[in-house]
Amino acid sequence: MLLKSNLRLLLNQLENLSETPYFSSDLDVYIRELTVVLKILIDKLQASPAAIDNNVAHAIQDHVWQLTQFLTGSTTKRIPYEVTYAIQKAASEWGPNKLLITTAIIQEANFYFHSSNKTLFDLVETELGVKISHQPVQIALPHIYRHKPLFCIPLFHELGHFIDSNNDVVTTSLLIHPHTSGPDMPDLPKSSDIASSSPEIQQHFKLIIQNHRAEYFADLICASYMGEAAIGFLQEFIPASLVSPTHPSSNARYKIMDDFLKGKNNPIIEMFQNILSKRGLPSLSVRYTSLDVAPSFKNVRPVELNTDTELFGIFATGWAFLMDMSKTPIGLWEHLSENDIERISNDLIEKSIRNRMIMEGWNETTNP
Amino acid sequence: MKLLTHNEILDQLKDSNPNTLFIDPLIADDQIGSVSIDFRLGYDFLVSILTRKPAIDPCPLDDEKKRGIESYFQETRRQIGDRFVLYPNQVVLSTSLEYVCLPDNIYAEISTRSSYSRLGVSVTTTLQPGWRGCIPLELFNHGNSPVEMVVGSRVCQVRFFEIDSKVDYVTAKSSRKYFGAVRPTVSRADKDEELNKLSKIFKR
Repeated sequence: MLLKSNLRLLLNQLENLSETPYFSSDLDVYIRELTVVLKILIDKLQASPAAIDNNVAHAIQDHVWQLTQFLTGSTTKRIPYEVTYAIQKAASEWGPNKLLITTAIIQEANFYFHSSNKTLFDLVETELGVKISHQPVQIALPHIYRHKPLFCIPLFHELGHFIDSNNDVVTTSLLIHPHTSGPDMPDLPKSSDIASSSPEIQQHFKLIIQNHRAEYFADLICASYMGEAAIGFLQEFIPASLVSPTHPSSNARYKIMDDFLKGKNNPIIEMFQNILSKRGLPSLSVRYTSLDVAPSFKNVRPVELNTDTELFGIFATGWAFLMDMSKTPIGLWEHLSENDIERISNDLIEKSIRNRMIMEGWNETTNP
Repeated sequence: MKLLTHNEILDQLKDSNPNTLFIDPLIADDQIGSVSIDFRLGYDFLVSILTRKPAIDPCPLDDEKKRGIESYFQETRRQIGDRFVLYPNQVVLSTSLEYVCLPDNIYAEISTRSSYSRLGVSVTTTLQPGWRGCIPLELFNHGNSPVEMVVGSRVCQVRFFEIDSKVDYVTAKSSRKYFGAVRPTVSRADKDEELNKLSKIFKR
């Protein structure tokens, strides 16, 4: 009973959403397809006997529920268009298709960047005969950061997980560089020690190493776009986290990002470069230009962003500027409170990005 | 005091000196008129809404818990070219699309462009020398019909006046709450310390 009630409630919500005029045509098509999925699913459950396995129906319900949450978030008209624009630009370097982004503003201190669950979409096609033409990604960020682009830097770490899961980077790494043969991971036993341990212990460490590699890869992607700001934000957000089965220690994460940005040799980075090359993906490289924001920001003016690399670069130098002004405010910033220094720094970055979006749209329309 | 003309505005905008007029983005050259610049409607809005409390009271007389002014407004954002409907008798806070920096000897007067005045829409404000930020626009529809405003359209014009002396906008005594703002901010009327004094006088 509850399952069918849930599906009807979700159907009602999606139908309401389909009547709002806020979506792009791609999202409109997507919502219509989801409503068809729910209608067919309800019909199959109402048949006697039910024409679909209960577990399958539950799985589809859970998935559609989550998708609906992000679609609803996208209608609130409060989303940070500037940050999603930057993320969209970064993601476009790793795949041929423009991402269809749905955004949720959440109350928890967490960030998400999930691709749609392809297995479930395949299941929908097999079980219900509905092919979903677009598979949007879901981005979520804390409500209190919606106007704080510098505090949304972790979204670029989440982008790293997205790139990984879409291209099986870490999974492939375990095939080519198994956990028993290295490279050795910081804070964990040496690979030679793991290789000489029991099968159970080996399996235990395989999962941990898979998790750690995924985090390192995401950190490296974040550092490649955000530079030192990736380390700086992590130091503020998770100052001294110890190693765990899911995450490396904070210090190990800082070090790998620092090695990458300083061009130092690091076997884990070399492993990922090898995998990326084998997968036909771009290599890990610094993908931003060090844009000097200080002359403009000191005068409380936004900066002009002429390229995508400058767009990414504003986060690195913007973060450095915020840190400098927080410690030693000078000039026009001298009499501002710490709160105003943070607010204005973030606002100048938000405005610089939005100005680029405006001019890009204007120029594309004027000179198609 | 002198009203800046077309060429003087251009000279200010081209000057690399940090203490000059700055406008970004200035999308089209023809926004600069003979004695003013057309400014465009921005993309962030705070829309006044009705609440269970019938009136905005910046300084309640009794011990009743004060309802914050911010809760009388709802935030909404748009993309350039998108629409925003301004209903009759509704207060909507927005900003200009352009970010403006004024030198310490120039102040600005903002008024509605006549095309919008004739629809019943009004915008009037001033900016002090040294201002940094998008121009706050308090939109009000005096007409009987809702008006669909297009984000990025030229809704107001700004005239710049050069004054003889210089003004320090941000000082140790006055840090300026709206300094550097890029989106609308609700009234800070409730932060006026004199209101408490006035209430005490009334209660005596």
